Amino acid sequence: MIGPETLHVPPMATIVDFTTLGKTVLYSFIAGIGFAAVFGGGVSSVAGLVEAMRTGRTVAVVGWGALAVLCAAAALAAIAAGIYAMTGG
Amino acid sequence: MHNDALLGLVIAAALAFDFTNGFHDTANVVASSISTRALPPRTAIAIASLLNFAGAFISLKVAATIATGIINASQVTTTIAFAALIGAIAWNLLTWLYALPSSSSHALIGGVVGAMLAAVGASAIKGQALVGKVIVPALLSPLIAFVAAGASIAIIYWLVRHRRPGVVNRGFRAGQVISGSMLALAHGTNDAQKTMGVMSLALLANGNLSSQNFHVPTWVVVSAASAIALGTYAGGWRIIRTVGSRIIKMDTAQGFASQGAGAAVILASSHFGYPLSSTHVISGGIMGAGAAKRFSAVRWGVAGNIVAAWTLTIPGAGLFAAGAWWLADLLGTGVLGPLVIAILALGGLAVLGVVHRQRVGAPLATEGRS
Repeated sequence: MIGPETLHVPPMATIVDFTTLGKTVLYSFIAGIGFAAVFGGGVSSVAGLVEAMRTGRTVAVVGWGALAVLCAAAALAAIAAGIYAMTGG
Repeated sequence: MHNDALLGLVIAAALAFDFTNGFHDTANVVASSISTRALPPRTAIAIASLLNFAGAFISLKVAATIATGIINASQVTTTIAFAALIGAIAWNLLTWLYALPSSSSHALIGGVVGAMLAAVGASAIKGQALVGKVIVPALLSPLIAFVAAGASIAIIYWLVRHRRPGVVNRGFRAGQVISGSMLALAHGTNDAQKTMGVMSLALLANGNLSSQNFHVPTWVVVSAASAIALGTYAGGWRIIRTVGSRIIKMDTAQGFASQGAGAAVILASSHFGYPLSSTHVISGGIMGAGAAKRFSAVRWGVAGNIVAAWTLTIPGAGLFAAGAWWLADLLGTGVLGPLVIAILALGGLAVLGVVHRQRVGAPLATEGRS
């Protein structure tokens, strides 16, 4: 009779490197969702900036403008960091 | 055993495979950017070609996985590498002719495994590595892209919920230039490396490389990068003609989210040496971005195609590769067998082209590839 003793199938944990796979999933989520959130924040800020300029609200213009610049810088930094991490091994 | 003529034949077959990989995948890489008018078609294709080329230089871990990770490289012969490529190309052509779902990446892996099984036996396959490094990541990657794209678009819609659509659309159209570029870079990174892996296998078998001190020669990287970039560029001209009827409509934010998620998954996987089907990842991203907006709007048949591709491609390509090895073995150990197979393959390709033209009289199917 074939049973677990005779089949000798190694447990999944020894076949799959869950640490590396987990890191891949984590990095994918951080990069994919994080970049979208930062860029989406930037687009929302620019839209807020345009609206504030149209209605002549100076404080809001400065606030949305600063946030848009911050988001743009963060998005560019994320791309640079990602490429550096890839090429750096 | 040195046989430079045979090595040349393998390298030519590998580059031909790489070219067709780029040719097939242009649609995946540029479809979103073109359909949302983020980029004009010619510009999108030119950028995709350049970044596919650049992407091939970013990492070599996937190439190492293909060359030494899933099989015992010391048992590979040049004929086995050739049979592996023939198996992958034959499977791709057959599925292309019958419009069956497939993945060039999985076909190549199936070809390598099938040729090794036929030539050496099961002992030459690193079964656990095959499951852990290829099959499990292949199953997971579209799901990760699905979730990442779905979460991304949900966050984006929440962030811009009170904003004017005109400004938002322009913003994400610009964003798609970035996300589309990252996707092209990611595609070049993962897919070009698979061909580099097989070319390296052939060099190992021919004694030009040592498995103890494995590295991918620069000329291999440059030639694989060039082949996939040229394939992407050549494939693009058909996309310009068919873009109006084949591409799913989506808004700019969805295009941005799906491309960004796809690029993130492929780049992260490439970093850890996992060879993925980029088509499946991109399809997962598109479905995730679509499902987050309206569940019923998604073409769920694509998911069925992916499952069918998972089931069929690796064994199918493996069988073709095994057949190619047996035929080559029958004709002798030198260059004669592979040469005869190459001539037969070219003849078969010409016949397939004629049959296909007579049958449909239309442009060729490109969906479901990576």
